[in-house]
Amino acid sequence: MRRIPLGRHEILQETLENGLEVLILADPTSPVSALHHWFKVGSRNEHEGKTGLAHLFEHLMFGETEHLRRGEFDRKIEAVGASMNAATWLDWTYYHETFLPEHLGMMAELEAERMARLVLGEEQVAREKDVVANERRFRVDNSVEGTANELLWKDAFRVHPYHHPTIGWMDDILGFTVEDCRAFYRTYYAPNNCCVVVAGPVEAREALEVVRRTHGSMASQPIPADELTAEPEQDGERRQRMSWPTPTPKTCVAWRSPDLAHPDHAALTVLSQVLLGGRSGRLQRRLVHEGELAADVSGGPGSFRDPSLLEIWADLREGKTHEEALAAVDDEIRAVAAAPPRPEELETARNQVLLAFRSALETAAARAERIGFFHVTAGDAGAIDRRQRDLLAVSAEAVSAAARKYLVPRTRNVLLVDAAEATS
Amino acid sequence: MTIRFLHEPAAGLGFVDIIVSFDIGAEIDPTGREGLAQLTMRLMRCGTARWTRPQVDAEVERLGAHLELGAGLHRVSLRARVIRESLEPLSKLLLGLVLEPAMREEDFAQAKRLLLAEAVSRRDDDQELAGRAFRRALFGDGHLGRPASGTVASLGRIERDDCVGLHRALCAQDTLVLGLAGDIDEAEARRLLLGPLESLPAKAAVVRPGGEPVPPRGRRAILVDKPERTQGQMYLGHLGPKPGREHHDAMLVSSVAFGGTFSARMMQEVRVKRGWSYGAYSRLSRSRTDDGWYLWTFPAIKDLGPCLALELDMLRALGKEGITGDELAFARGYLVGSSVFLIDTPADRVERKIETETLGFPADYYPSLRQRVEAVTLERAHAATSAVVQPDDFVVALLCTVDKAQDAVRDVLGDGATIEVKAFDDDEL
Repeated sequence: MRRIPLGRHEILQETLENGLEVLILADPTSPVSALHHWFKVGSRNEHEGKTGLAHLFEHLMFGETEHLRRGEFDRKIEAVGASMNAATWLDWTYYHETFLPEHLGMMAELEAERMARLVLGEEQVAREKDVVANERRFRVDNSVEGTANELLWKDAFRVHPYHHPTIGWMDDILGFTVEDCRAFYRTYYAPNNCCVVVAGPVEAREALEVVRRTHGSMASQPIPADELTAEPEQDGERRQRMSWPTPTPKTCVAWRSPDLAHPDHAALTVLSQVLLGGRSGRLQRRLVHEGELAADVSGGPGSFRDPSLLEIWADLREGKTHEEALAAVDDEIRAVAAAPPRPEELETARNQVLLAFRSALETAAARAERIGFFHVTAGDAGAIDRRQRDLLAVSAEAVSAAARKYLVPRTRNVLLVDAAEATS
Repeated sequence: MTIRFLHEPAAGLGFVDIIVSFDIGAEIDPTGREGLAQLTMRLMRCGTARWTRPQVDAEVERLGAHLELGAGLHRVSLRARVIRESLEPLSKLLLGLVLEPAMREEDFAQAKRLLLAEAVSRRDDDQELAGRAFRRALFGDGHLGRPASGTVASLGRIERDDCVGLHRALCAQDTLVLGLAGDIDEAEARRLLLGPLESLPAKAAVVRPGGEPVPPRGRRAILVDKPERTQGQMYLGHLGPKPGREHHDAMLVSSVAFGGTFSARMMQEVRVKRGWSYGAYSRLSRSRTDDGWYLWTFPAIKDLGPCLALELDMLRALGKEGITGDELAFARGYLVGSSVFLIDTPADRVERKIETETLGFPADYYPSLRQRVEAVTLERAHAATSAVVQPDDFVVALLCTVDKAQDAVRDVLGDGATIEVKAFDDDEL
């Protein structure tokens, strides 16, 4: 059993014979336990014409199984007051429950049941397609941020599957068949494509035995190798405009940025803190509090398996222009590229890293989430502690170097949202 | 009354939560100056005689802290989380903001311009607009219906002296609830924060408005018109009993059975059987007065009429027949089991106590919640839904593209319903 330090805790990691990876963090002070199942499949594993399948499938996992009628899965979990949900993103899909410690066995049995014995029929798939279509209306089609984000990534990635949204294009969502879903289940929902995380007031070996008993008899399956086409280097700025019934314009600038495990990711994260952090970040002051060009500015580098985008979003104030916002962003990037941040800026970034790190490990659910995310995205839960050390070790010169290397016009993507006629 | 001091220690956590809360909020904003409490709190964080606003912002973040000041309807609060190593200097800085804020004219003007910009930006959020319209429809122009964040017009009327006056009048020992959670012991909490805060005046010079809201009569709808919507945001409901009032506990259980979980009746009927809305929930608000009990869905435009009709049918059935025995057992189990999440962390535990103090809940509201939920019988649940659920007296707030949905809504609500249309950028929303 491998032991991985995590702050003042320790993670125990074991791989079962069927390839299922189990990570356990025992903390006797926690009043609740958390159980997470992280599958190494997300929208990066989809193809054009079948986008949104990983997310639709996440919905279907709450349906009928060989031993559970429709709705029984949810009902059994909620009847004991547990909270549960799931999420799908570019690189992963995960399912999580938080519950009183005595229910670990039941939760593991329920998860194992749907992992191995899900029933997929015409009715279930048709109904869930409608629900997902409605979710898309909610998150994308009726949301300026959702629509703008989709356009930005669609244009920034033209070959790599980060091009398409995790929720899928509407036509694809409505076009899925039962066989699409069955094939996806057979292919990706295997023990050797999953990691189980248990966190809470458990005895580690007992928790491991619970997972072994409930999941150990599942057969491993061949998992398709990644056949992703790397996105070619961007060679020139890309610019788009869209119009929306919004009261104020929004300006977005995004550059290609490295994957989470890349050595430069930590420096880019600190650079983002220097530019965008809190209320004292340079762009916070320049755009919001002193320049008064925007009501809000936000952003940062993506944390994904593959190279993604470092984004800056500005919600402009009435009467302010994209040109003013872009000029301010350019000025501040030139400045940080030319001269390293001041010592107090670096101290701020380091202390904010400490606050974020400690806060992110506050609850059993939060710890399980961090463990699963880093295990799947960076390939190792040990990366949580290493990343904190890397962030704290970033030098002022490394921040400037990251700005010079990544925030360059050649790889910039600009999306300008203009306010359409304000009233219907 | 002395300062109410609440402490939830957790040695070794590595950070501390500090909550300085005064138990009167935007409810005392003068009519036409809504947003005053919010603007006052924003101005308080803009510095002291020693620290300018940019210096405060930089210092808070350099110390490894996060700081928010804001106003709700019934309380205003300063909330900070800080790494353990910086507790002492941050405490001194926060005390300065509470006890001796500079409230400079230039900071006032800037804070006001930012709040105005935020008021405009909020019009992007369809759910928030529908939620505001629901409160407007439910509480009318009284203090419970007016937005704590203010409107463009009301913020425009506020002067710096209004903020200075409110700070002086509101910040006193008898309105203050101090909560500390995390890596701090009691002696340290008293030395760093409680002791210095005892220099505040003993009594506040403001009075909370009294009285309970008047339940709506008849069927009233506000349609918030926004172009190019393919989906509506819909709230439907009326008043529900506050904590401590008759039927509160039984209504809480009934509401969970009706629309509080994935397994609940609403989710099954609206999402699982019909696929009309990704979410379908009901919620009983907990507040100082009776507040909203509402249903929330967001169906596609084509499904708005049928979904509204279904919700009204379900409301009638709930009022007439109540929940079933199975639903009661399920909801009780859910509430009992999930009650641990209310006190999962030191910050959660202190927040429940602050909520109890600032919103005037019975002192044992959270500690005895589990036992009270277990004691709800089917008879009590039926009595609650029969008394509380009003299928003929409710308000609906619906954000949509009105010309695509208006006829369907009129058909469902029928003759006699009052329907008002407002543009999404109407400042009075």
